[in-house]
Order: sequence, then structure tokens, then C-alpha cells
Amino acid sequence: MSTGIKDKVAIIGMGCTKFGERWDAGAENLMVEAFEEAVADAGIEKNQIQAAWLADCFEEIHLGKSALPLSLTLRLPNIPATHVENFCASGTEAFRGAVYAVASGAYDIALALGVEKLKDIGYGGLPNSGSNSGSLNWLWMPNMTAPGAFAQLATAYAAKYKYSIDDLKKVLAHVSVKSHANGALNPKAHLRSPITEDQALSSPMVAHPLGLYDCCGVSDGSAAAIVTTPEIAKKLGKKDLVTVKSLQIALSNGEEIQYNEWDGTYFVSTSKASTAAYREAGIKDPRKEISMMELHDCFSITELITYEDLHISQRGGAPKDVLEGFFDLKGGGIPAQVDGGLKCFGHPIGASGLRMLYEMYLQLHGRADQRQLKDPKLGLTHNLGGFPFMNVVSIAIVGKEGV
Amino acid sequence: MVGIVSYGGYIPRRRLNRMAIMQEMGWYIPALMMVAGGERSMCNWDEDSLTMAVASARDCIAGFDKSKIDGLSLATTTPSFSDRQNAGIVSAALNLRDDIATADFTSSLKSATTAVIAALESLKGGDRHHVLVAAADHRKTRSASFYEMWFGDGAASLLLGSEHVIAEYKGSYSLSVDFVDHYRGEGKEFDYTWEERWIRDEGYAKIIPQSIGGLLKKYGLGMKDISKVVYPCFITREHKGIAKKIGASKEQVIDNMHDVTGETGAAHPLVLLVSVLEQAKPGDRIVVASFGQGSDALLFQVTDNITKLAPRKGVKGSLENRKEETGYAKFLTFNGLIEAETGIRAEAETQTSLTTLWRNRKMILGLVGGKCKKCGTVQYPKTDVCVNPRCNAFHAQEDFEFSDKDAKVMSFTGDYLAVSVEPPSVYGMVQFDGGGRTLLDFTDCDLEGIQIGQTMKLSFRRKYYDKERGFVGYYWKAIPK
Amino acid sequence: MTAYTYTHQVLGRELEAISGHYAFQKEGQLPYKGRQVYYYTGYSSVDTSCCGPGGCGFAFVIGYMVSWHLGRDASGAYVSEIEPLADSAERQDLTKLLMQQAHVQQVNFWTPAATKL
Repeated sequence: MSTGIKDKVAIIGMGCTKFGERWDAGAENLMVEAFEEAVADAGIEKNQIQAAWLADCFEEIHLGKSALPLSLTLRLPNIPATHVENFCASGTEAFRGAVYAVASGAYDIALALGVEKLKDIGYGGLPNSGSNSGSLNWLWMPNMTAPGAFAQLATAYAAKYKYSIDDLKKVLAHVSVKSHANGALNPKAHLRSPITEDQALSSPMVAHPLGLYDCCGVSDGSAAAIVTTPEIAKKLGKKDLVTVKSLQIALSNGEEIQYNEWDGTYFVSTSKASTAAYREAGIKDPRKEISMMELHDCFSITELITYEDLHISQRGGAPKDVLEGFFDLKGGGIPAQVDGGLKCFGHPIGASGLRMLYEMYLQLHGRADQRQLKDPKLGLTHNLGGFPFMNVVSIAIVGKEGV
Repeated sequence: MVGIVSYGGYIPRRRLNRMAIMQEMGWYIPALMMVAGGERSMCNWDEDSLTMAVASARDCIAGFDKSKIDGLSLATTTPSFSDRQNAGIVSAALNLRDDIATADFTSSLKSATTAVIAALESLKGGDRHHVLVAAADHRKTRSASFYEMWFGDGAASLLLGSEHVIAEYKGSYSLSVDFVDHYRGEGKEFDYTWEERWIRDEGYAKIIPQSIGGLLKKYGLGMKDISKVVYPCFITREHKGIAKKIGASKEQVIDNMHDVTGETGAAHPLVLLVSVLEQAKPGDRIVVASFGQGSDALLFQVTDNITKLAPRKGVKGSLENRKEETGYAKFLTFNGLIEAETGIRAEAETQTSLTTLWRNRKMILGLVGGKCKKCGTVQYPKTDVCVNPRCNAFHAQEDFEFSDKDAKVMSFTGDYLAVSVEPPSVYGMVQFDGGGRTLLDFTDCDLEGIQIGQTMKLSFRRKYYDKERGFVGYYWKAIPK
Repeated sequence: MTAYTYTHQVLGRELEAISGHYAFQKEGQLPYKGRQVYYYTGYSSVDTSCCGPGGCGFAFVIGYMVSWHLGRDASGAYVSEIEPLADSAERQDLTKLLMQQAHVQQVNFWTPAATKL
């Protein structure tokens, strides 16, 4: 009988680079920057790390294949290192690898590092894979981009719950304004400008009804975590441990795109992954128990609907929670995108999941400066890679030991 | 008796107002004004001769048991491939049987009539019962040339057979002379043309009367015995002149369609023939002639069966489905006549895995999905494991065709970021009537006109062009019904 | 339809988002159904979106002008009284008109940022 991951692993060190258009740094430099902070934070020697996981997504445009770039760049002492890629869940996947490695007892201390260097391709946006997107995919999948696919989610959601597009846009504007306000307080964020609702509502559409402030952007960045067991952490002199409560991944199996049931207004996999995550973490009522969240706000509509798929807002009820400030930093509910989210950090894919965990870690240790929440106990991170109709979802819950 | 069993037509929805050309290029060639009346049909950016041929063929065989088709010929001077049979692609799109004979008839504007004669003659042998002939052309012309004004894009198809014949084939007369009014050399994009006065006086004015005259003489008929006669000639005045020369009255001749489409190349004789069949009555004798290094003239006599032919779009219906285009730059861009910036992003790899295409040919070219024999779930694409979560049976699916199913729009968007010849790229999820759903690009539509729940139908289109290797990728898109 | 006060935009100021930026360039008025429709034209550049580069010229329609430049707000910006355009037929109509006359590729409409559903 499996017992889940709850409290079997502690995070003892984390690092995160400044995100942004890092013309000054290659992926290798970014890895070093995140790693140096993490290893100093953990207070260990590099050679105490026994296994490592590297996450990135578009490795073909920066590091290349395998985990060799990690081993070479950090000059790891010939330890096992593994490269993982699972769309936007890649960073959390690397973390999962490291966490499971120490939980199994195979290793004492493990490293998870995520990185993405997107600004070396000569144009804005993620690389266009063309026929390298899969030899069969190329022959039939529509000519689409993510904003277009997520815009469909917005129109379907509005139709189902009878919100006018004008009203939904106002809700989305609030989602975005809140994240920008948080990001403005974060020195590591790419974009640090607070915005007004009017500014968001006046912005042109990228894919109707998603405007400029509803869509995330590209950045370069890296983040890292060093994990061990709570016992070893204590032997290392660590106090007030931050432990892993649950790690869940869920993937579409084609039902949304092929079968006749899904109505296009929610994420099948998020809904399932969150249920499994709460069970693993022993959480009964997430709306009451979760203290803070970092969600995959690739689009404002994704964040809005994810509130519902996390079973925090009622179906169709997220707009009301949003407008009541439930997810605002000082709104008295569950602050979301505490560090500014993808809207302020951009999305260096391999790094994002670990960047989110970094904020949870800072908050749980009371080190989040101006963004610091009062006594948070449990933090949830969420990544969604792919499209509403076909995706990879990861959810991680971390918290204070014993909660 | 052999003859025409059914017909179909296709004229692209977009019509370029010729004054748009005049407005932009009149400063350069003021004489264009002579032919600047009316409008010409123009392919959408994702259309070509093959897609138009498929559209007209589907119109032609709608409701017909296509397993009875024994042969398919494609006539065009603008095939997508020099060596990969274009008729084979059309056949795959129509999901015809594998054990049929297919052929490309090309390199001449008379190739369609020659293909029809060949098909009809082969039917007489009795081994074959139904042969489909599709003709289409999408000819590129230099900007501000008279030919840009004269030409149009279009297609027509005939199903020829020996049962339920609507127009009996009475015979033909062919002329083959190397009269080079124009030619398109190997590897050249455009026609090279000689003086129009010579083409008119020594070409059209002599060759067409000679072939029609030859036909009538061969079968002991006079023009008075003929109900309608059709032949191409893009010079409108000369088109009328030919009527005079062959002794046909105004009522016997139908015009060259310059005002509504322009001349649709190899397809034109069949486009004209279809528009005559659309108004024909039992007993009518129809002569159709072509022009291109000679001429074929064919004689048909309409039977009672024509009154039983199910309604179809044909040429008339296609003409009614019309969107006026006044932007000349769009025409130029669609036809690759100006090199618009596409950005580094468009430099992505566009190779086609031919092994993947072969294994999935029915899915990609024929839009064939699956139906689970265990639970009955209809699904696209057909895969090894049934998508129904309460079934998930392995290896239980049989072929199920989706191309003729209507579908409802479940969700859609207009995407300004996707690389597209004509932004925004419109696409969405559609639910097929009778089950199954998929994602499709939408085409021939305006974003403002699309609504959730709207009925769409499927259309075979160009999906991508691999510039480096010269490969055209085809797939299906949704268009408003 | 009720009129709302509208604070005029700063022209030429680029507003930055993570996925790109936009700016209002000009104010304009269009006679429509016997009234004046007040709008802006501007441009957007979606050059840092994670999904590919884009951008457009756009018009942003504020609504029917009720009272022009009533006064100034605390920051010194002009304030006018405007009746927003909510009717979908009128929106479609104006979208067409502005696309032709202002040569924009996108037309959007202002809705007052009220926060009640």
C-alpha cells in the first residue's frame, strides 16, 4: 500500500536567478547562478550532492540533449544526472525525480535544476518546431498557437456560465492586475510594473478575448532545489523544515480532443491531479487549508479556471471570488501568484516549476520581504503544459513540517 | 450507351474585382482597361488545382456509391507534382478503391476533353463501368498582364458511365496541331505568349470552327441540330466571332464567363459544359470543344435521366457562393507574386515523413477515422486503442469516413500570432454529427461570421508547402456550410 | 444607456506587458447615427509573447461623446463624459467603418471597469 510522499523529504536549499531577457547569460551561466544560491542556502559542499535532475523543454535551442550540460557546467563529481522534459511541467518533474530519489533511500542529497534560455533564437516567442513537432502531428494538427487555444477556453467558459465577454474580460483584468501588483514587489521578476484594470481592458487582443495583459511572455531564467530527508536535514542543523506534502502529475489521454464528453470549459487533468494531491497531503478542504499558490497563469483564463479545477472555487464561481479579492495578496483568502506569476516572470519553461517552489520556500521561511504573507503553512504550485484539450499538469504542495 | 452520369463544379469563393488590378497597375499598363470589367475567380491561399479538383469531384459524386468507380483522371496544366501522380492524391482524398486506374492528363489546355474522350472510349469496352474525370487549373500570371485579367481559377468534374446516363456520348472529333499561342517551358512559372491578334485570327478563329465543323460533318449534323455549343476563348469579341463562323445563334452559344470567373484553363471546357448541363432538357444536343495545340470536339445528347439527377452545387451554385475581393495585394500574396516577409519563425522545418504519410494516408488524405466494433464509438483519428474510457478496446476499429459528415463548431478562435498567409488563423474544435470530434483549421470564412454551434462541412486543402523540397502537404479544413 | 466619466489616455506612451507593449497614438471622432463616436487609434507589438510575434494597428472605441473635456483629474488628464457602446450591431458596424477609415486591423470597445457581476 503506497503512502505518498508527505513529509518524507525536506527542501534544504533553493536558488533562483533574476528572470528576464538575459542577453548577458547563456543557459550555462543561468544554471550556475541558480545553483550557487541554492548550494549556499543549503550550506553544503557541492560534492555532498549524490544525484541530479535537469529540466528544460526546448533544449535544442540552448543546452542540447542529455543531462551532460548540467554535469559539465557544474563540474559534478561524476554522479548520476538525468535530463527530464514534460512540457511546462518539466521543472516540477526534475523536482519530483530528486524528491523520489531521496525518499527511496537511494541517495541522501539530490539536486533538481530547471533552466531555459529562450532569447537565443532571433525572434520573440517560443521556437516554432514545424515538422519537428512530431512526424504525424505535423500532417494534421491545426496551425495554432497557445493564445488561440486558450482563447477558446474563455469563450466556451463564458458561454457555459452565461458571462458576457465584457464581464469576463473585467474578471481577467483583475486576475492580471493582481499578479502585476505582486510582481512589482519582487526584485527577481522580469516585469515589475503595476498596471490598472483600465490599462488591461484597453489593451489590444492577442487572440480574442485574450488581450495583451492576459498572455505570458518569454524570459530566460533558472531555478534550483536541493532536497534531503528530514532526518538528514536536522543532522545538518536545519530548523523549521519545509517538507514536500504531495507531488502529482496528470496527463490527458485524448478523451478531450477525441471523445464526445468534454465541454471545453475546464482542465480534466488539473481536476484529477489536484484531487490526488490533496489526498496525498491529507488536505480535506483546500479553500481553508492552502495558504498560498503559484499557478500556471500562461493566460489569465487558465488561472481563473484553475481556481475551479483546484476545487477552491465552485464551478462557474471563480469570477466572483476574483472580484471579491479572494486571491489578492492582502485579500484574506488564498493569495495567488504571490511572486508575480508567469505574467511578471515570463516562462523559461524548464525553470518555471522550480521558480514557483522557490517563492513558496521563501514564504514558508519568512524570507519574502515585501510580499511576505502572515504565517503561511501550505503552498501549492501548479504547471500546465500543452493545450486545454491535451496537456500535462503538475501539482506540488509544500509546507511546514508537521502541518 | 455510355455518357455522362453526373457532373460537379467548383469555382473558388473569392472573386477579384478586375478594377482592383486596374487601380493598382493602370498607371503601368493603361491598356488593361480594355479587359478590366467584371471579376475573376481566385483561389484562396490554401487552394490549388488538386483541391479544386477534389471539391468538384465531391460535388459530382455526392450520393453516388463511389465503390463503383473504376477509374479517375485528372486534367490540369498546373499539377502540384511533376512526378507523384496528382490523380492519385485526388483519388486518396475521395477515398476511392485502391484497385482502380488513375491518370494525369496534362500539358495542354485541351487535356480535359482528351481525358473525357479516353474515359468514354474505355467504357465502351465494358470492363470499366464508371470513370471520374476531374479538371482544374490555377495558372500563375505576371502582375499587370492581360492574362492576369483573362484567367480565373476553377474546376469541373464529370462522372462517366454506362448506367443512368444523363447525356449520351455520341462521338468526338479531334485535331492535334502544334499551334503555339503560348507555352510554359520546363521549370517556368509563367506562360510565354505570342501576339494576341495572331492567336485570335489564326488560332481560335480557325481551329475551333475546324474541330466543331469536323465533328458535325462526321456525324452528319448541322448547327441547326445542336441545342448548345460551348468552347473557350478569353477574347470575348472573338468568342462571339467564332459563333458567327460556325453558324451558331446567340441562343445556341453560352458566353465565355469572362465576367464572372475568367478562363479556368484546362477545366474551362468542362466548366462551360457543366453550366450548360445545369439548364439542359432531355433531347438537347450539346457540343463541347476545347482549344490547346488543336482541339477536341465532343457531342452529347441529353436523356430523360437528367430530370432525376439530385440537385448539386455545380458551377451555378459555386458562383453564388461569392466573396468579392478588392485587395489586389492579397491576390498577389496568395499567388506568391510578391514576397511578403514571414519572419524567422516561419523558417521552421517543413519536411514530410513519407513513411508516416504512407501509414496514415487514409487519415491524412481521406479523413478516414475509426468506429469501434466493441462499443460503436466513432472517433478520429483511428487508433489502436478505443478512446471511449468505458471501452478502451485494443485493435477493434474499422474504417469510418468523416469527410462527408457535417460538424458543429464547439469552440473556435482567430489567432493573430500563428504563422499565416492571411491572419488571423481561424481554427477550432468541431463535433461531427453522429459522433467524433477533432480540431481543424477553418477556411473560406470570416472570423466575425463564425459562431458556436454553427454547421461546418469539410474541405480538402493545402496545409503546408515545403519550399525547400517542393512538397505540398494536403489535409482537411472546416468551412461554413 | 448611462454615461460614464472617462479619463483621457496619454498619447504616445508605451504600456508594457510581459508579452509585448501597446500605445495610443491619436484621438479621433467619427460621426455615427447623428452623434460623435470618440475613439483612439494605436498600435500593439506582441514581440515577447511566449507564442510567437505579432501585433497590429487597433482602434479603441470609447463611446458616444456626451460632454467633451469636462475637466481634469488629479494627474492633470482630461476627463469627458462618454456613453459606452454596448449594442453588438452598432459594434459590428463601427468595426467595419473603422477598419476601412482608420486602416486598423482590430477594433475594441471600452467598457467601464465596474466590478459587479
